[in-house]
Amino acid sequence: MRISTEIGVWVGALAALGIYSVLIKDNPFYRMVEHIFVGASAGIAVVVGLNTFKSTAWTPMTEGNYLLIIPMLLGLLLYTRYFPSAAWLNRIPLSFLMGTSAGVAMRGAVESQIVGQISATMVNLSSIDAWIVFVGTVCSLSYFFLTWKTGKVTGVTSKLGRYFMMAAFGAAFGNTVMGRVSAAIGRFTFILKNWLGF
Amino acid sequence: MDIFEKLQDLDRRVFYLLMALAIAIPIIRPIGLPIDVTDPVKRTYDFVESLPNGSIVVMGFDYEPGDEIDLSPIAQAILHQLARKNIRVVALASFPAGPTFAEECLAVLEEYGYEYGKDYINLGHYAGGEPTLAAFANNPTSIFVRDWLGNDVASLPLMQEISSMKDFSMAMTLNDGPTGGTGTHEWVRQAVMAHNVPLIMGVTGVLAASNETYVQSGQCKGILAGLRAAAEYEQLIDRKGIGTTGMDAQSMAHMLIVIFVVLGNIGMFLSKKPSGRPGPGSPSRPAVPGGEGK
Repeated sequence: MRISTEIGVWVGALAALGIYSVLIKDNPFYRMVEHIFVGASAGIAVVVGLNTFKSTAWTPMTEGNYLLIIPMLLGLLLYTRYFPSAAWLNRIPLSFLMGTSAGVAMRGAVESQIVGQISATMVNLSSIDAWIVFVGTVCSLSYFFLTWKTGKVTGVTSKLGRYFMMAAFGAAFGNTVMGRVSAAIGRFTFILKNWLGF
Repeated sequence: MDIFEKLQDLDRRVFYLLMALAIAIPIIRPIGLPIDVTDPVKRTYDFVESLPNGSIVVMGFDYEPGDEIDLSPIAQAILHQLARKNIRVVALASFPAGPTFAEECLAVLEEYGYEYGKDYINLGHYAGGEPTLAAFANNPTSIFVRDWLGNDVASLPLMQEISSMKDFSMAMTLNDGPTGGTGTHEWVRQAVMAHNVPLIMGVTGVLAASNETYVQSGQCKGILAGLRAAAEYEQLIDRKGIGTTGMDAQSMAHMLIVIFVVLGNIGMFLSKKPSGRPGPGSPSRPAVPGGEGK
C-alpha cells in the first residue's frame, strides 16, 4: 500500500468519497462536492466554448479568412433573444442551424435507419434468429396499431408484442445495471489503486 | 418476524456496504474468474485482423468521464491489435474530455515504437456534432487547423495522406450516446452511408441493444459493449488489462444483485406482503378508472 502524493489524485478521490457519502445520508460534504462539480462543469464548458471560438473562428479570421465574420455575426445574433425588441433576429441563425443539421442528417438517414433496418428485418429469413426478429418486430408494431379495434388475431399479436418489448426492456435494463456497476468499478479502482496504492 | 420478513425491511445501506465490498475485494485481490469470448467480440476482432497492414484508421473518443471505465479499456485493447498490424491512427473527440482519454489510450502505441505525427495523431475536440463530423469527412484539415498539442495539422506527415474519410480503412467510435457529442447513428450516416467506410463501435452496455441492429443489417462490422467486451478482447489479444481485472468485480457485484433479487422475491411471496405500487384490482387501486366504490 503506497498512498499517492499527487494533489490531483487526492482531490479526485476525496470528491468521489464525498459523492458516495450520500448513500449513508445527505450531508454537507456531499453537497459541497456536488456544488463544486456543477461549478467546475460550467467553468469547463465556458473555457471549451471560448477555445473553440478562438481556434475555429477568431484565429483563422485574423490570419486572413474574413469570410468567417459571417458565422461569427450569426452566432452573435443568437444572443438577441435577450432583447425583446430585437429577439426576432435570433430566428435567422436558429433556422440556419436547424436547416443545416436536418440536411446533413438526411444524408444517409433514410438508407441507414429506415431502408437498411427494414430490409435486415424482413428479407433474410433463413435462420431461427431471423424469424424471431421478424415475428418480434411485426408483433411489437401490432401493439401500436390503435386505428382499429383489437380483434382475436390482433389481440394475440399485440400481447405477444408486449412480451417481446418486455424482454427487450429487460435486456436494456440489465445492460444499464452492468454499466452502473462498471462506473462504480472505475471509481473504486481509482480510489484503491491510484490513491491508496493497493 | 422471520428472516425473510426482515429482508423485506433491510436497511439499504447494508446493501450498499455489501456492494462496496463485492467490488473492492476483487480489485485488491483479483480472483481470476474465467472469461469466455462471445461471437460479437470474436467477429469484431476478426474484422480488425482483416484490415490491410499499414493502413490508417480514425477513432472517435465520443464519451465523458463517467463512461471511461467502459470505453477506455476497449480503446486500449483495439489499439494493441492495430499496433501489431502497423496500422496508423487518427483520433478525434466530440466531447471536451475526449482528447484526454485519447491521449491516455494512444500512449499504448509508444511501446510499439509509434511516432507522433507520423504514425498517430490526436486531433482534439470538435464542437457541432454531426455537421462538423460531416465536414471532417469531406476535408479533415478544414475542421482541425491545430491538433491537441497545438501542432499545425496540415504539416503533420500522417495528415498529408488523408484528404477525406475515404482514406481511412476503418472508422471506430467509442460512444456513450449522442447527448452533447456525436452519437453512433451519426457515425453510421457520415462514415458508412456517405463514404462507405467500414465502422466498428465500442459502446456502453446501455447502448448495446439499440446499436446491435446496425450489426445485423451489416451497416456496422462489429460492436463491443462495455467492460465485458474489453475483457474478452484482452483475451483475444492475449494481454490482460483493466477489463480482465474489472470483470471479477463485475461478476461479484452481479452475483450479489441476483442473490438479493432472489431473496427479496422469496421473502415477498412467503410473507405475502406485496411491496411497491399496488397492482390493478387491489383495494387501493381499482381495476377500472373511476371504479371506486362500485
